[in-house]
Formats: sequence, C-alpha cells, structure tokens
Amino acid sequence: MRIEINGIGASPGIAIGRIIVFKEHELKIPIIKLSETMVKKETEKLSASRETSRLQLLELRDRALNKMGQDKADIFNGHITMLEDDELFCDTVEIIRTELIDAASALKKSLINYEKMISDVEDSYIKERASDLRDIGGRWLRNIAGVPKIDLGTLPNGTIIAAKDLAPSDTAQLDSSNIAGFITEYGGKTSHSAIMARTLEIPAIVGTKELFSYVKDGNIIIIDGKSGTAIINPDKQEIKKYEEEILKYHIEKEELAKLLDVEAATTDGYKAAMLANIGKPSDADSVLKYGAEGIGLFRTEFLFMEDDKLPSEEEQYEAYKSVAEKLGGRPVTIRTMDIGGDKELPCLNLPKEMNPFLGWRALRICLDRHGLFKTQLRAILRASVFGKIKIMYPMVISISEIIEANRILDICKEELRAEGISFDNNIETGIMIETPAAVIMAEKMARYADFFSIGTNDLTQYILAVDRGNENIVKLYNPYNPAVLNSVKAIIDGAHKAGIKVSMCGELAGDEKAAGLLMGLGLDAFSMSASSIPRVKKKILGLSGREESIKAEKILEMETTEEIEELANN
Amino acid sequence: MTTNVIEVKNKTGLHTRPGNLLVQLAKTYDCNIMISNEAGKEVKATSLLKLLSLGIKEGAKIKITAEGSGEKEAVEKISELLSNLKD
Repeated sequence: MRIEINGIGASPGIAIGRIIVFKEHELKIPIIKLSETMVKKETEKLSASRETSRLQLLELRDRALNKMGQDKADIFNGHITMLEDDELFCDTVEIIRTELIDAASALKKSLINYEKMISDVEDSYIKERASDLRDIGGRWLRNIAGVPKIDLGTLPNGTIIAAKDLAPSDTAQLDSSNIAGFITEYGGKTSHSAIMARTLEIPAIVGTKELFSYVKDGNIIIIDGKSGTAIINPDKQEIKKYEEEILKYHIEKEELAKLLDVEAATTDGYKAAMLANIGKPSDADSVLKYGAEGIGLFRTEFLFMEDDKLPSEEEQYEAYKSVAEKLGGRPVTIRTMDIGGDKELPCLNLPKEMNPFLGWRALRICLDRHGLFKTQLRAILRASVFGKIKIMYPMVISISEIIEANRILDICKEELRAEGISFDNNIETGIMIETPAAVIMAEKMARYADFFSIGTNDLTQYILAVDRGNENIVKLYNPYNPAVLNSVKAIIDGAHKAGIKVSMCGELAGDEKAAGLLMGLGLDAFSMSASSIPRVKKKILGLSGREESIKAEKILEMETTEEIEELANN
Repeated sequence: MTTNVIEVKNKTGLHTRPGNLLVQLAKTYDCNIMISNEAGKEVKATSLLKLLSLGIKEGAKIKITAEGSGEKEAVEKISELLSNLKD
C-alpha cells in the first residue's frame, strides 16, 4: 500500500531504495533439550556461527582500517582473538555435551561465566573488556539464532535505513557507497544525524513522527531530503518521476562544480571566504573538491568519543597533522574540545547534569583539567608546522577565560621549546561566539582574539532559550529572530572595530537563502559542510553587496521574525 | 619442562593488545604453554580470555611454563615479548 509521510528535510537529494529497519532486537534464547545424537550437529552450528561472526568482524576491521586507521582496526583484531578463544569454545562444547542443551543456550551460559571471570579482575581496563566480550558474544548468539546484528557498514547497495534515531557512533559507520539515504523518527535540522548526513552527502529526512507505524524491511521507499517527503511503496510512475529528479540533481551538481575555482564575491566586489566544517580527518579528503579555501571548523570531539581512554597526544597530533597536510597550507581552524551536553563519553566520567547545555563542558572542563587541555594544545602546536593551523576556544563567556586559556597555551609553548620541538610561534588563537555573554562583550573580547567564529546553532539556542533538539518548540528555534540577527551584527561590528575578521560556522552559513543577509551584515567568511559551498557561492556571485547592505539595515530595524524572513528570502 | 619468571613493565599490563600478541605467538608452538600470576592462578597461554582473567598489572611478575617440543624457544620468545611491551 502506498503511503506518503512527511518529516524535516535534513540533507538534500533524492534517494530511491529498499528499507532496512535499524533497531536492536531483543534476543530470546529458550533452552532446548537435546538427545545425544544431536550433540554433533549443535557443535557444528556453534562452529559455523563462530566463523560467520569472524568474517563479519574482519569486514568491520577492514572498514575501520580504511576510514579510521590502524589504531581502530586493532580493536577488531582483539575482538577476533576473543571470538576464537579455544577455551571458550571448548567449555561451550562441554556444556552442550554434558547438559544436553542447544548451542545458543550453552554459549549463553559460557559467556556469562567468562564475563564474570573478566569483570572480577581488579584492573579497571581489563574489567571493561567484559563489554567487548558481551558485544562479540551477542553477535555470535545472533548468528546462531539467525538474527544478524545489522552492521551499518555492510549493507546491500541501495539501502535506505529507517531508524528511531541515529547516534553519532552509528552514522560514523555510514558511507555513501553503501547506503542511499536514511529516515528517522527523531531529530531536527541541526541534530547530529542531520549534520552527519550533510557531511556524508546522503539524502536524509528526520523528525518523521510515527515512522515506525509504516516502515517494514524490504519496502521500496523514495526520500526527498530537501522537501522532507517520503513515499513508501511508490507506484511505477512516481519512481520514474523521481529518477528524473535524481538525474537533474546530478546535472546541477556538475554545473556547480564548474564554479570551483571562482572566488565568492558579489557583483560589486564584496568578498567572502568559503570554508568547510569537518568532524574527523577523513572528512578533509573531499573538501577541496567543493572549492573550500580552508577549514573554518575542525571539530575535535571524535577523538573523545570512541575509546574509554582519553586520546593521547600522539593520536591527536597524527589527526591534526594529517588534516593540515591535506589542506596544503590553507588555514585549518581547530576547535578545542567541546564536549558535554548532548554527547556521551566513556573516557570522561562526566557527572549527570540537570542542564548539560548550561553545564560543565567544553572550555570549562579544559580550564579545570589542565592535563587534558595541555595534551590537546601540545598536539595542535606540534602539528602546526605542517600547514597553517589556528586554534579556537569554544563556549567563551569571559575575557578571563581567554586570558587563562592563552596562558596555558604559552606554558605548552615554553615546554615544547625546552624539549626542542618546533611549532608555529605565530599561531593564531580565536574564539567561538556562541553565548549571550560573548555577544555583549564582543567588542572588548575582540582585543583578545585573532578572529571570531559565530556558532549560530548554539548561539540561537542560548539567546532564544530554546533547546534545538526539542520537536515541540522547533518553530521557536529560528536564526532569523531579530534578537539573533542583531546579535550577529553586534559581533561583526565589535570584531571589525578591533580589526579582526569574523566567520560563521553554524548551519546558517550553509543555507544559501541566508547568504545575502550575511553578506549585508559584513560577514567575512562562511564555514559549512563542504557540499554546500557551491550553492552558497553561486548565490553570492549573483548578489549586489551594496543592495544587500541596505536590505540588512532594514532587516535589523524589523520587529518580527516573520517580516524578516519575508524580506530576507524574497 | 622449562620455566621462567619475568616482570611485566608496561603501563597497562597484560591487556587486550599484548594479550593478543602473546596468544598468537603461543599458538605457533606445539608444546603446551601455561602462564600463571603471582596468586598462583594458571591458565593456557592460548586463551586471551583466560589470560585477561589473570589481572596482570604493571609491575606484576608472571611465570611462563612450557612442556613439549620447542619448549625452550617458546619460553625464551615469550619472555622476550612480555619483557618488552610498550603499550
């Protein structure tokens, strides 16, 4: 039956494919009694499912090697060794033989024993390996039961994933080569799954309420990531129509590619730099092909999200160095650790907070935990000889913070000098402007920073007191609200008075409908998901800077969001 | 039977990565190789899970015992591996 559903278009593009529902199944393992003659068969089942698991882990390992490096791939090597543990296998076979129960039940018992054996160890690192065993054990059990864990990395071509929500660790496994797109029940335009979809350049729809009432594995679905419309079980004509749309989209993409080396400037010469936002080193591989002139925001949280250990200086240094080199001398702005709030981390035991967005996060953690901060700063400094790196501090609320952060940076520089390790002595340091405090103090703060970057996502959130992930108030979250736009103006003016430049790295910068207004307000640089650069550039090339300035002045006088949006978007 | 006692010097002790290396090495020998910790618990060197359960930390002394063909070389190579852990 054909069903049309609507959500929020999170990442443009059209995809046609088959649904795979991503949802963790509750695995039920009833104990099945065996007769002696069935023991051999059950043992073979145990062995065969182990082999299947091993092959799955090998695939994950190779993908990890490709996308994330040897370090992450080694984790899977460890997993494979655990899976192939002789003692585990022998003990399980023994249980099958002596208790005469099925392979899955025997394995479940065995796993419980081994998990206890490992979690009884005092050493906290080893104790935590129990969860690795649970993970591998779960996979093995699922393979015996024939309910495979959905490896987001090994899906058939043309799959469209339907999920309640996709966590950053899930989307980290996705690739445009293996999935055509995804659709989720939760989320808004600036939620993580949406941002990741745009980085991966795959069509996606989020915030589709009641999605799960309609989707089923195997259904054909068309998703339009721009309009937010999805059609389940479309008829033949619809499929044809959308296939044509896909073709048109590719042609448009080609045209935009021609603008690659053209500088973004209005018809009357108002220029703006086009920069890219990245969330991990491999993202940098594709930014240059979209005409990025540098990286305006290198989010470093990925380093803190994978392991239960804090990232070492070496690990961080390698990551920053690789990006600096890939960008060949173009500026790379690295934002220091911006964690807390909505992100969950095993390596940092963050206390549960009532208000994580107003809590102990980002720069606050760094200024309390100097060890952590210095490790990151040292890694950045060491990498700075390989390109042009800039440092950016997030969530700044006071000049004291800037002074303190720079003081610690100076200590790191002294240490490196004493150790005979070179770094860029003139490395620029700037700040994110995303709190009301920073807006109010922008002019004074500009004397302590080499540049500003406006984080409109969080800025809008804090100024309007709206949680950007909350679907009930999504209508209130609007960067075109006069309070936000006047704040942007104040930030830019304050910066220019002190002779420094301003870039914007929030999602607003990647919205071509806002380009005119932002040019009119005097923004110096736009930083966005690289794939949005051609569209924003094309928009700017067709504008008159003078006209946009006049328009912007009018807009700043307006009292309601509705009037502003009308004038800005017409 | 050949025996040797060595001290594990790396910061994280005998965890997954070095444990894995030990298991792979031990499997290349035909002889039976056992590892025991200071508390006297003894396990096969070919089982990563059992090795982890020994809870060997930095500074701990472990006993390597091998019995069978190639036992001398096995103990020597394993001792070398465990004494030189970097991780």
